[in-house]
Amino acid sequence: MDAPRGREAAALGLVVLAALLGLWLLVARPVAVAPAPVQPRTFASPEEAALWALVVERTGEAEQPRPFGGVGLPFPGEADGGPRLAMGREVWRTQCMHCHGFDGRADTPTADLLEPRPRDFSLGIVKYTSTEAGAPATRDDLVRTVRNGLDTTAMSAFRGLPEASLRTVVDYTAWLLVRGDLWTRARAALAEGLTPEAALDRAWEATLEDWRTAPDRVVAVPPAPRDAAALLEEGRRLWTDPRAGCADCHGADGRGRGPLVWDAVAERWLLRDAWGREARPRDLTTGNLHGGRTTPDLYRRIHAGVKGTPMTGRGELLEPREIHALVAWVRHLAER
Amino acid sequence: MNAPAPDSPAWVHRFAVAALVVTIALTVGIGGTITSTEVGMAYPTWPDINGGSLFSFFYGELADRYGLGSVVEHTHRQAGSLTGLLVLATALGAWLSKRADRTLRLLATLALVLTVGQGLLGADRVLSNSYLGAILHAVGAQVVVVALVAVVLRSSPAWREPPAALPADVLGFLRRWTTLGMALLFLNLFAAASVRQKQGAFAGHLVLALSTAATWFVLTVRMRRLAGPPRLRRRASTLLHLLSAQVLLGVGAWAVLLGPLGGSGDDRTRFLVQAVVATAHLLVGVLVMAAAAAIWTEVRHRLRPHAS
Repeated sequence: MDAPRGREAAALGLVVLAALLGLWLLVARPVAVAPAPVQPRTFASPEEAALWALVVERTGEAEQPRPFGGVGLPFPGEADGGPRLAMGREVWRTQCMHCHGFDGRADTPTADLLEPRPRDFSLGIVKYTSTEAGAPATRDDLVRTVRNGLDTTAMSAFRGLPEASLRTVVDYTAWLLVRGDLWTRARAALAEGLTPEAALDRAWEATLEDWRTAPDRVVAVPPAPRDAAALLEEGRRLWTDPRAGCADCHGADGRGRGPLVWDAVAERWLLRDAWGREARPRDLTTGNLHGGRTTPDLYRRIHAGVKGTPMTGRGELLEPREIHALVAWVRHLAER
Repeated sequence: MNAPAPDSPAWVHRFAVAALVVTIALTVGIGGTITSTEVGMAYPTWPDINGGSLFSFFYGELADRYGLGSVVEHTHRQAGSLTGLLVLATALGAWLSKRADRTLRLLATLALVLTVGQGLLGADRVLSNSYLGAILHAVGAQVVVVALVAVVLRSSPAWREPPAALPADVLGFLRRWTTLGMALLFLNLFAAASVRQKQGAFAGHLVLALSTAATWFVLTVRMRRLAGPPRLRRRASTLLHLLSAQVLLGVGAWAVLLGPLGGSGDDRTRFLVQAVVATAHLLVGVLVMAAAAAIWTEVRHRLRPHAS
C-alpha cells in the first residue's frame, strides 16, 4: 500500500508544482499578441515612394518609432520621447492595434466590423478636438479621448489603464498622427512639383510648429447666457437659418438626412469625408453625440467643426450667443 | 450515504437540459466569437443598444449604423437572456414541484444566482471596459455551465438509480484526483482567458493546459479500465475524446494565432481561420469542462465504497 501512496503523493506534488509554474509564467512572461495584418503601402509614383522612404528615415517605423529626428515629441515639455514611444508602442500592441491597425491605418478585419470605423491616423486628423478650425489636436484632447472614450462608439473609455500606460500610448498615438500629418503635407508639396527632399523639408517645420502651438489655439468657451428659454427658441430658429446651415446636413428634424448630404430618391449619401468614406451627419435624435455632450464639447464642435468631415466650423459666422443657442437646440434634440 | 432522490418532474429536467444547450451552443459560442473577433466593445452601452431593448430584433439597422460587430454583441446578450429565462424556469419548476428534493432546489437556485451574476459581470465588462471583468466573465460562463450540469444530473431519471460501488481505495483516489482535475481546469481556464484578453503570457496557459490534460488523460484512461460503473466508463470515454480534440485544437489555435501559420494567407481569410479555430477551441473547452463536471459529480455523489 505504501508504494502506490508514495507514487500518488509524488504525482500530486508534480501537478501542483506544474500549476504553480504555469501561474508564474502567466504573469512573469511578456504577453504574446497575434501579429496584426500589415497592408503594403501603395504609391502613386516613384517620387512618392522616395518621399515615404525619407519620412521613415526621419521618424522611424511603426515598431521602432523615433521622436522626429531627435527634436522630441511635438508637445511642449516632451524632450526625450524615445523610451516613452517604445513603451507606448507596447501598450498600443495590446490595447489599440486590433482596431487601429499595425501602424494606425485602421485596416484590420475587426475595424471592418465596427461603425463608426475606428480612426485611421494616417492623415494626421483627429475629428473631435478643442482647437479652432485648421488646428491639430492637443495632448489633452488625446488624453481625454483615451480616458473617456467616444460616446456610443467602440472607442470606449480606458479609465482602467494605468496612468503611465495612458501617457505613453498617447505619446505613441501623437507620433502616428504627426507622422500622418507630415506625410499628407509632404505629399501635397510633392504634387506641386517639389523634389521629395524639398517637399519633406517644407512640410517638416510647418507640421511640427502646428502641433507644438495647438494648445495656444484652443477655442475659448464663454459662459452660456442664462435666459434658457429664449436661448432655446433662438437655437430652434437658427437651426434652419442659412447662416448656420445646420438643417442642410442634419435635416430640419435633426435626423441627419438633410438635402445636402442625402439623396432621398436614390437613397444614397452624397458627401465623403477625408478618409473617402460616406459622410453621415449625426442623427441627433438618437442622443448619440460621439464627440461629447458637455457645453464646451458642443460649443467647440459648432465653432470649429468636425475635422476631416464636411462639417465645417461656424465660429467665423456666428456670435458666441448664437453658438450657445445652437448648443441648447442640439441638446434639446438629443435629449427629448 | 447517497439515498435515492425523489422523483422530480421531467419538465424540470428538460428545462435544465435546454438551458445547458443554449448556454453552451449560443451564449458561450457567440461570446467566444466576440472575443475571437475583438468586437466586445462594438456598442459600449448595456443593456440597451441604440435605444432598443434586449428583445429588439433590429439586426439590419444595427449592422448598418453600428457595424456587424454590434449585431454579434447584441445577439450574445439576447442568448444570455434566453439562458437566464430557461434557468429561471428551471428554478421555478424545482421550487413549485412537490416532487423535487431540497438539493435540486438549492442547485437550481444557485444556477440562477450564478447566471444573473454572470450577466452583471458582462455588463461591468462593457460599461467599465475592464479586462479583469472580461476574464472573470469568461470564467463565470463555465461556472454557470458546471452548475447547470449538476442540475441536469440531479434532475435526471438516472439519478434515482441506486449508487454503484467501487473499492474504497479506488473511490478515494478518484475523488481526490477528479477534484484536483476540476481545480486545474478552472486555473487553466483563467490562464486561457487572460491570454485571450492579452493580459497573460501564453507560456503560462501552455504549462497549465498540459498539466490539466495529462491529469485528465491518466484519470479517464484509468476510469475506462474500471470493472465497475458503466456510466462512469462511458463518460470517461467521452471526456477522453473531447480532450484529444481539445489538444489538437489548442495546437491549431497556437499555430494560426502565434505560431508558423500566423502570417500566412490574405488578411481576411487568416482572420476568419483564426476566429473559427479560437472559438472552436473555446467551445470544446466548455464541453471538456461539462464532461469533467459530470464525472466529478458522479464520483462525488453517485458512487459508494464496497461494503467490506
